Amino acid sequence: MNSEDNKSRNDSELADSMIDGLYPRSSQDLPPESLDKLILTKAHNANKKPESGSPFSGGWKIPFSMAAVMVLGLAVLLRLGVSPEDPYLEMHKSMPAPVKSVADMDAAISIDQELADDLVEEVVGSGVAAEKPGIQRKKLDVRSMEVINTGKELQDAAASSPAGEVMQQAVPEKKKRKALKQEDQLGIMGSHGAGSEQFQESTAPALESKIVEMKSHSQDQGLIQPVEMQSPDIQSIHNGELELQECITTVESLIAETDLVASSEQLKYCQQKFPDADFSTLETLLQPGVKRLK
Amino acid sequence: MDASLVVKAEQNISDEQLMLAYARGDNNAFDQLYARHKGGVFRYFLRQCSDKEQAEELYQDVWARLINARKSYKSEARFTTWLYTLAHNRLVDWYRKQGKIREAFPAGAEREAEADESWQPENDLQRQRLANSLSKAIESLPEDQREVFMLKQEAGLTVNEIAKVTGADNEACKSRYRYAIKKLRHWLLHDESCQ
Repeated sequence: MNSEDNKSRNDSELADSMIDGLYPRSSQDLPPESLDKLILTKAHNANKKPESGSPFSGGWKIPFSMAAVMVLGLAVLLRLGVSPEDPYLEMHKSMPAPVKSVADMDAAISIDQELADDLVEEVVGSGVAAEKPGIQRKKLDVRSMEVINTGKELQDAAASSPAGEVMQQAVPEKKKRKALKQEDQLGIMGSHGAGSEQFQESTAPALESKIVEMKSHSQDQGLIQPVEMQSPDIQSIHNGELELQECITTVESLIAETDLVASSEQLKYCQQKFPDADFSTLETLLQPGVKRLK
Repeated sequence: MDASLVVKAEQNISDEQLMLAYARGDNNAFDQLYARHKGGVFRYFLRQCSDKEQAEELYQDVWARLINARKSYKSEARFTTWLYTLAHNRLVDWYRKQGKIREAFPAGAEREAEADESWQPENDLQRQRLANSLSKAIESLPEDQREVFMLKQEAGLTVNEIAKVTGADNEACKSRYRYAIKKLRHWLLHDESCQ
């Protein structure tokens, strides 16, 4: 059995070596030269490609992606920062500029001053006024107060609005001091001229008409913005405060007239209308036994 | 010193080193590698296809695959094994595309093939005739046996390496090679042109 296996193995090896010797490896069994050149050229070009590649080949994707992400991120951030739904921004947009500039305010005051001078000349020229310097001062004071009050209203409204801080900064300190000084002077002069009944009777209608004319003149020129152009929220708050102030003033005047019944009823009305307001001072004044100054 | 000059200076550099040098950008390394293996790979396809144009196409495809996969080559693998694995895969694809399964020998032919130890070529003319006959015999082998025979003859692969290239079992590869040898001997002995 073993001898047969060995014989078979030897035969196989012999055949293997014989076939190996006979196996044809002639030059005819080689690829054509054109194919060789084609393959070699392809192999050489493959190594050249990364060096001479186009700008869009190779590692362009990462920088491009980073740049795109940065641009998109900045766009989103800017959009979030200036959102059109921002209530602060909406209110700021809806509010017109109450006073264009400090120079405009100066111009408004100077124009009103000129008109007041004209008015004084008219009044003085008619011979109605007995005390010339006093009348002149009074009329000047009325006009200045009108202008200043209008300016103050606008400044208060601007200060109460979110954009008021910017407005306050826009008004220089010198201008503020000047307005305060004029207010103080008005207070002094008002006390001086309070007793002039002749003045009030003769010149009040003429002054009122002149004031209306001056107001319209100033508004036409855009120097003074009407209060109605403020935002609705500020307007409503402003109106509420005015009504409350009027209510308190009425009660005070009734107390001053010692009409306690009417003043108590007016106070109750005020308390119903403004439940959140503090009327403790008026209630104290209405209590029996309290001395009331006339 | 330039890498290409090193390659030129050392002609005995291994296939694996040449391939790595080419992957790093040395084109001369590829030239040398190509010169070493172009005949074997071409004959591998020529014997399997029996059609020179088809063999050239497959041959070109294999080298193109090698060029494209140069970066993925690992020096742990023997270059010849890797090259003929690419060739084998391309050949299998071609077979599948052709949808052909050739059986040159009828079933059971292996049992009929008997070795004749008395046979030997007597002169060069007879040797040439036998070589031509052997070429025909190789073409007539079953595909799996022919491939194993070609990988052994052309690439010089061992049975284990042939098993790796073809994805077949070691014993199956041994058996295929043994049967291939027997059939070739039988073909040569019974070919009338050789007598």
